[in-house]
Amino acid sequence: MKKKALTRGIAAVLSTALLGSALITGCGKSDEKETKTSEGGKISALLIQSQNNDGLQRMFEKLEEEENIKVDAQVIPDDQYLNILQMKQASGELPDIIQYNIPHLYNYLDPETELYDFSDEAWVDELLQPEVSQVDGKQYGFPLKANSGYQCFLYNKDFFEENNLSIPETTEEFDALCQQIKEMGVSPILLASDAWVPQIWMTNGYARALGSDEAAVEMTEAVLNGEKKFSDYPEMAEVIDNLLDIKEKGYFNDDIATLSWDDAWVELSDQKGAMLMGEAFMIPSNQAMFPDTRFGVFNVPLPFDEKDQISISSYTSGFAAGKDSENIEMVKKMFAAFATPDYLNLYFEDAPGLPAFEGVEGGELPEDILELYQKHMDAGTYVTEMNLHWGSIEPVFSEKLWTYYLEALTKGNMDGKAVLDNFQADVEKYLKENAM
Amino acid sequence: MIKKKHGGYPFWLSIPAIAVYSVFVIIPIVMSLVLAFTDWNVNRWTSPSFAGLTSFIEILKDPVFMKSLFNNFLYAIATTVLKVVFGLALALALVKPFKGNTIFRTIFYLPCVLSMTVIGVLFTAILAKNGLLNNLLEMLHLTSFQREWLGQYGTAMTWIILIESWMWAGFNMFVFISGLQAIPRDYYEAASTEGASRIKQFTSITLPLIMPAITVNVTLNVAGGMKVFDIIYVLTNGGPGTDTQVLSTYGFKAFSLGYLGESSAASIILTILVIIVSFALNGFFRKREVEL
Repeated sequence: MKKKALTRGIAAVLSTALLGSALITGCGKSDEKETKTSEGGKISALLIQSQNNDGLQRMFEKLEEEENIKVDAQVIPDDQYLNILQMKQASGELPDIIQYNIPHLYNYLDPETELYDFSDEAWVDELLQPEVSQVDGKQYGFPLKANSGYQCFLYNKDFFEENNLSIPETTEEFDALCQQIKEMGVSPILLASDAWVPQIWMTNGYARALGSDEAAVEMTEAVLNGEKKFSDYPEMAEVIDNLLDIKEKGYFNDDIATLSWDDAWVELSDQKGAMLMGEAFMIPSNQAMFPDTRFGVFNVPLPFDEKDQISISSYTSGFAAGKDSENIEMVKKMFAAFATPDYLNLYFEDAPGLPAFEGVEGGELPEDILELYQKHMDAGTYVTEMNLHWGSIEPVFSEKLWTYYLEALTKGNMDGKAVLDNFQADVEKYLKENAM
Repeated sequence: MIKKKHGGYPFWLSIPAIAVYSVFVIIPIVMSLVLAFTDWNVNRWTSPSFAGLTSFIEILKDPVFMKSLFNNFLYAIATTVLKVVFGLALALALVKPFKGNTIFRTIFYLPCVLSMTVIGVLFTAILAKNGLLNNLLEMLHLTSFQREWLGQYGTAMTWIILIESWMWAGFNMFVFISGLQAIPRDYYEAASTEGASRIKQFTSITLPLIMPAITVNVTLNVAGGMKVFDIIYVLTNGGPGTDTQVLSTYGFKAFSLGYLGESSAASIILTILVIIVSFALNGFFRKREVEL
């Protein structure tokens, strides 16, 4: 009995000690938490994988170090991003901040009812192009970059100079150039298999073939309202047929079905290919990867665009915040910090571009990128890429249409009309599915 | 009292396992089953309406779904045959103890512990246009055999099947080795005394007695083959175009479009197929099992 009593006694002492220490630790933790919350805290974020996450990470680290605000980020692959975003929206679980191309984001989240209005924040006055991220004069997004992306041909300058090749100004010259390069045993144009790559030809081409933003908007509304079909716009099929014609002439690499975008750049740098269709602002980051190669840009002459326009991608990467975010004060603090050169310079450190704010170092940009842009801005010869107009049906064009392009290119089983007829059926189904 | 003493473990011990299994397996399956009959999508997240068989009819009308179904069966059958044949061959070679036996067993088992992402990167590099395989063919002056291996349906599907079989043949080998080790040596000695050839011994003793191992391997391989997703995703992502799509990637794509009802319907069809095929094969092979 004595032994039992002793055991019980020891157990009681130990339990008391454990409970006491747990309480003390618990209190300590609680105090610590309170202190941290009063100084900073945690912001939840939804990030898209293909964006400049290294740059963002540097900004987040600085924010945590200086403001004690930690960004708890969920990074989503590009092809799943909108779906996850819509599910979070539908289930009322939007994170505090959402990263995306701001003008596109407004197609998915209603700015007025779902996004926080930052119009009264001081940083709004520092924006270089406020209209790009505003709706009815209200600031619902925080842009990192200015709207200055455009699609064009990216080429290996060294290869052109070494072989006395000139930039083509007409479709005939372009054809002759491709033929000449092909005869040299080099792929004139590199095309990668990543679904988003061939589509650049079409988002660019449709806009240029239709001739103006007004025509593109009108076409989009007519098709989405069911008043017209894509087949009512034969110039769109012509854009695809032109691409298939280039393929037929053997101007593309013969491994379209498997060449990755990254490898296409390696081949461009190694002079296994001479040109590729892309975005002008892809050059700075790739220039850093291939410092021994000089890259240049030109606007490819296309048979259906007599005005020789450039297609603006209207890409303004940045953030928006949910209207009901519980951490909106911290988000405001974060955006105020991010708008300063101290922070935003970190974003452009190894990926130069045009910053959204005054006083920020966007890094060194090749002269010809800016020259081409300015030339078309001055002449008014620019249109907005078609993907922006089609924002509300983005999942269906990225999942279906881009696959059809690849199929038409790699299997030759569809012409432009067939591709668009298939897409028409997909759009009709998507609109029916998503009718509220 | 005696009954209570030997009645096994108390039920409450299994509650955590049942809870986890229910939350992550049973409930999602039941929910998928229900939601497959609705018009559920991201815009009707909280208010799906009953839509009968609409989702099933929609996907059955889709040629990509039918192609995915065909690919699923092709993949499941081809990989099962290859894994079982190579697994058995390896087991027969390595069942007898010899120096280095365990090293060989480890080497053959190694592929199935590799991450699928690693496999994807590895074989994408090997099978690329300028990859190892085409370079090897060039070195051997066999340039006419060079291909864009993952760029055409036939070669892409063949390589996916071969890679999967290479990965899991080692696992099959171990199941067969345990089966082979359970066969008493007396049977072979008696057969030898009677003058039975090696082939006769294999067909009359080995094969019937390792039937339980064959049942396990075939059932696991077919069920695994029907559920395939990762290897397709990392090697071709269902391409070129939609050529190497299977039911799982089809459901995944439908999910990406926000067609959650159709995605659920595709999952249900896949689940039903896996259950039917697994039970049928299990029944077929169990009947052929011989008691030792």
